[in-house]
Amino acid sequence: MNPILEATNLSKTFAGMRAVNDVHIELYTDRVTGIIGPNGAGKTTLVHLLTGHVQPDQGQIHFEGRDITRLSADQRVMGQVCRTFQVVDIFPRLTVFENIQIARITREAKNLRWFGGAAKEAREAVEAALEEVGMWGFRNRRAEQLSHGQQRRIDLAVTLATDPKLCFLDEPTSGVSPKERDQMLELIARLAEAKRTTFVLIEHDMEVIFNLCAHVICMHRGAILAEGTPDDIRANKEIKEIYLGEEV
Amino acid sequence: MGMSWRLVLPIVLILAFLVTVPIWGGRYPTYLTIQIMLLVVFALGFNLLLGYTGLLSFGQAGFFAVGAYVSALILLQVPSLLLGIVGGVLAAGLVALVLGYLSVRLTEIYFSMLTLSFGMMIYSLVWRWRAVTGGDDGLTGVPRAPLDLLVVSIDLSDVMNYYYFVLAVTVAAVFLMYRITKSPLGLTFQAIRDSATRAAFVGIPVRRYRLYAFVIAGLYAGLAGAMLAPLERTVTPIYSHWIYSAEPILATLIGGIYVFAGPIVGAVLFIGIKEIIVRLTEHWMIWMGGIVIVLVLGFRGGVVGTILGWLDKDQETARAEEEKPEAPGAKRQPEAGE
Ligand SMILES: Nc1ncnc2c1ncn2[C@@H]1O[C@H](COP(=O)(O)OP(=O)(O)OP(=O)(O)O)[C@@H](O)[C@H]1O
Ligand SMILES: [Mg+2]
Repeated sequence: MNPILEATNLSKTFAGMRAVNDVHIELYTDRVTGIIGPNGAGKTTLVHLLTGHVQPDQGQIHFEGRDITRLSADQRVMGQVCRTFQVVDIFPRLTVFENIQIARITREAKNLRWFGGAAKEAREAVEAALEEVGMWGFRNRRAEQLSHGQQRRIDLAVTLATDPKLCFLDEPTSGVSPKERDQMLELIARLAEAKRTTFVLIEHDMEVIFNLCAHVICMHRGAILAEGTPDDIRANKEIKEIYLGEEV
Repeated sequence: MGMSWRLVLPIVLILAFLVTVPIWGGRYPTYLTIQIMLLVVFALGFNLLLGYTGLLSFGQAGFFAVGAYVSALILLQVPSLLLGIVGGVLAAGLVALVLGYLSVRLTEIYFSMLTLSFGMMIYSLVWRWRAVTGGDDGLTGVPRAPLDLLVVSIDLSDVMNYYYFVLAVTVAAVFLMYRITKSPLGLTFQAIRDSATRAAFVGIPVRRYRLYAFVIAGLYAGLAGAMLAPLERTVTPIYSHWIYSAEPILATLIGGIYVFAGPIVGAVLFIGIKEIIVRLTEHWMIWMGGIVIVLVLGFRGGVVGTILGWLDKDQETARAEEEKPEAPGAKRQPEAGE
């Protein structure tokens, strides 16, 4: 089986500091991949590189066999690689409904329609997406009026509305209440089960990673320290050490 | 879902008012109303950039001037109003396309500074290029040429007639802009305004859409300028000065940047207030500045935005009733103070 995404020799230096150092990564459609590692390990930067938010200093990225290294972020999204950010990033002044709708309008390449009303576009898809994340009742609120946990869900719904084949979630539960966290994880598990999208999950919580992911990559100082099944990772001495050394 | 009477009734009243201005108003109020309408067009274009796309341009007077000069130059050669206006609009759009292509690479204050520089370049070009622009004398004797529509030719040499031409064009321009803001294109602009990064990560090529907004704003500025030339019958470099760029900015800030009607109401207030204070004092700019500051600080979100906010409060409460949390953990957050 070919990887849906394969990156080779990826490196990125910020002001003399190698945030991502010669990384080789393969992602497959039949499993959820988890990326772990202590703060500053380079997890987010790696996702930035893979999704086109940041250009690599060197390396190649192939998605479904195509070289996407030079494609911009929006081109990659249209090619069905999407993500969420570690810090919620949605459209604060748009309504919840419009947040999803703009993703659908763009997916359907209707952004240039300049005369007909936007309100009637993609209604069914938006409805379905909002029901999926349990936010239908909030559709007419401006996104900035929601709680942080609700914003996280909208963030995820916006991302999914782009129809990604491959989707990176950068700490999707950070900063939400325990209850909302469980709901979010349940939702992600359900979506992963549906297999429309291949998920890559960045998380600090090992239990979450071991529950959701069939394959785990551990990063440390910009490089991949180890990868394998959750059991491999659990048994890995080196990983235990870096976690004990830098945080618990 | 048709338009509600709450929207239709005021529009009908305003239109009825506008149509009768030359009848009961006399020459000066008619002239003043034309000025207001031109600023409405100018400011609506400007606010597509600021309020809808999140780009603050300090150089819009440049496009206004291109519209004014090109329309004047055409009218001095060919006495066809339509040709003059269309020519001015297209020229402004073309210049906006070129300068916009360079400007939208930057954002925030850098974008603003670049548009300011381009505006200043147009200003000095207008000054220096005497052979074409007449330098500081400007272009004089611009005819208020007749409007040729297929078989009929309408004489507009009287301001009272020209008024109806400007009114028709302004109504069309406002309607068109309204449709744009409500369309998928308008939603795309607003998404970029709210978060350019997120916009890219739903698949929007952000720069390209910023350029579209810039060109539309340029076309509107050009339209306002092109209609000004036959009104004043002279075009001078002052229209390209950056101080002139401040007019749509102030009008928009007074009215409110996040409401469609903001720049419209703001233009009325701006010209109305200016008209009153120039009679009272020589230093009208100081007073105008003071009044704008009071309005902007007193009415957060602009005059229209604030009033709509008051009206909305009732509806908010009603809506809160209807929203029942679906998931057990999803409690509604208390209303953030607006
Ligand atoms: N834009 C930037 N400019 C400079 N340095 C950066 C930038 N982005 C990241 N870094 C640095 O690169 C290193 C890797 O950061 P990154 O955000 O990828 O880590 P992370 O594994 O996601 O950490 P966390 O778990 O805290 O989110 C850090 O030392 C960070 O300070
Ligand atoms: Mg991170």
